[in-house]
Amino acid sequence: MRLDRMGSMHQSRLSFLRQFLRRVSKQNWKFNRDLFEINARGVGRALYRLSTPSRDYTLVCFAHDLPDEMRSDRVIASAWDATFTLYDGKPSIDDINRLSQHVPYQEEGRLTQNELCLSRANRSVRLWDYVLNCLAEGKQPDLDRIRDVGYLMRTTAVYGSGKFGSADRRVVEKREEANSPFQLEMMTVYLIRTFVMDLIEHLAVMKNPETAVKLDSSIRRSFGVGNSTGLGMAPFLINHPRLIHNWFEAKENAIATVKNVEDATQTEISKFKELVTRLKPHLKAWQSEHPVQVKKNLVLEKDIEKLEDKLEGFNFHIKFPWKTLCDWSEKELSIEGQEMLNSLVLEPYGHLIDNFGDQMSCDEAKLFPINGDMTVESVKSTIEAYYSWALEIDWSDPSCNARAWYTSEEKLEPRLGERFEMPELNEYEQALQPGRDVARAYANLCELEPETPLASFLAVYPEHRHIIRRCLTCGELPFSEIRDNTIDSSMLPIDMLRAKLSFFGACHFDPRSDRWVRINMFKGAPFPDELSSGSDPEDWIWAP
Amino acid sequence: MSEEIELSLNEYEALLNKAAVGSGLSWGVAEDAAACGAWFMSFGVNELDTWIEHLHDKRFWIDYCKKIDQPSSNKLSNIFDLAALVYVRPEKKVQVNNYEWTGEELIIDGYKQTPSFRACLSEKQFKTLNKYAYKTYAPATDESRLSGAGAGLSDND
Repeated sequence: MRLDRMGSMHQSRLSFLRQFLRRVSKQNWKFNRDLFEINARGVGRALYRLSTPSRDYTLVCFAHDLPDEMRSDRVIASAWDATFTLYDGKPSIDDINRLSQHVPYQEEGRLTQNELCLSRANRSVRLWDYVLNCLAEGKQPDLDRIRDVGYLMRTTAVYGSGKFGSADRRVVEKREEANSPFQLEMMTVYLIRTFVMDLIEHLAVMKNPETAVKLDSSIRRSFGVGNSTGLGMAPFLINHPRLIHNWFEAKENAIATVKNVEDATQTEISKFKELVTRLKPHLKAWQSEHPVQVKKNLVLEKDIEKLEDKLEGFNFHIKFPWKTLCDWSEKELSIEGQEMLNSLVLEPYGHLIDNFGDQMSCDEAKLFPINGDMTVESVKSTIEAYYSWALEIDWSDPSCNARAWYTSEEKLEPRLGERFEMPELNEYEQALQPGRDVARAYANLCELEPETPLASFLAVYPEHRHIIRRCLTCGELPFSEIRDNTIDSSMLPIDMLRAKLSFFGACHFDPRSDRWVRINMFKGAPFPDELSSGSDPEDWIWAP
Repeated sequence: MSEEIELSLNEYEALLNKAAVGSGLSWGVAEDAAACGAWFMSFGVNELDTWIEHLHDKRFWIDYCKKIDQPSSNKLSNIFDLAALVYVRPEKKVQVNNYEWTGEELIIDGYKQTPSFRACLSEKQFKTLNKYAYKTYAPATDESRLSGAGAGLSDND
């Protein structure tokens, strides 16, 4: 795994929101809006329930009247336009009243084992009033204006897995619908999308009951849920090597499976070709002002043209056509284009590759055991085999050791500081620079006799225990480690964010700086009532 | 009477980890110390006061780790030794003082302990852990604020 490739990844059939929608459709989950009590100022509460064959999940929504000047996507914000929790089952009135004392305060509140996720969202200033006024006046909003933003609200955090007192992952992980990664978080965001659409239509009626109209269904679908993602996601990728390995391995296995298809059927070829026609409109709607992304999208536009040209005369009836195409892309396309093709070729092959989605979770409850009887020589060999890239970096060069990851006491916001400008940060540095730390451990390992047991080394050098455990873990799992310097002066945290977000199923990546990215989720996807009426859970992807 | 604080087990282990780092343990040793504390709590056993006491003795936790890495060196003289052995040899039956591990269940004074994914601790214990954990957080400064995501740009659009 290299950062430049991670920073070019796209959603695929294995992405978590795709897995979620497939399951909703296949198992015919039922959807109900159990409550919607919101006043003309947009203040109130609502309940949205999804029923699987075996249980209920309810999104408890609190809508607020937030002054414009308080609206901020940063972790350090203290108020939002709407706040949410995903409740395990059907909440009672007492539950809702209890949650109303906690959920609007987010990190300052406390949840119980009955709650599974905690989230909040802010309105898009660019679109909210425009769409509201259009609907209140009886008009449909302009698609071009919608396309420039893509959402009416963006979430600024979706917490799960025991955060703030909510249910530990171990409570739900054995449930079929929650076993794959982030399924309950996907459910939360999906129901938020429905709530947001209902909210704006409701407020339009409150504003002008005489003339207000609802959104046309095709326009309604063009809204996803935005999301602002900051630095918290980057440490996640480093702190969960075994889990991350499973994600990347599943996708790699899926690509290898499709490359191994000897003969493509006409249906599969047609499906692929139809998807390729969606790429240009999709790219046109992919707005970003960040110079890195602007440049990548210009190159991607050329890549799409190259792909279209290639397909003009391409004979799909050769043996192993997908391998031939992917091999061609590695020579002719940018990494962004290669990754787009890697995701595209998976689409016609759900029957061969969707099952890889079942292998993307990981039991991380126990630490990886260290075998203290290993010799120092053997540990050194593992490091030389898997971390040669780290041993080759000159860590005395200030540009290679330029940054420090740390947590601020301000709402525990994760931050990335310049080490040499803020030397006090050294004291607070988190263990998020495996490359440098492995080089330091290696230097000390070299001081000892080769036959020294690892346990004796760690008793003398306990400061290396974390990185040694990591090396032994990652040495067994080829996709577990980012083989790049995470504290280099030129490192872009957005590359890490993009990789994780692509596994979520996000699109329209719009970096706002080197450490913050806006994305869109579920844009174009069917709403719950549409899925219940038989809408295809897959055929909305690469929407403009 | 002081209030009881309830955390998810996951949240509790993360807090123990930070407290251990804040007390001066290295990251790797802190991970094992936190896993040890969370293991007790997963059976509803609050050994936290002893766990916190040991934070003042770095050597204790380094030795604890050695017992995990080399189970043959574990002399099983206290319940933390039992936790270290069970962590790497969960299938093994073992008894230390009034604690008995059956290979699957923890029995104390003859009573089977009920597993749970919640952690209950006193307000005093919670404050003590947070006091140590806070040492891992950098002070809030204007300069630091600029190094967070979203700094220096309008995010209200």
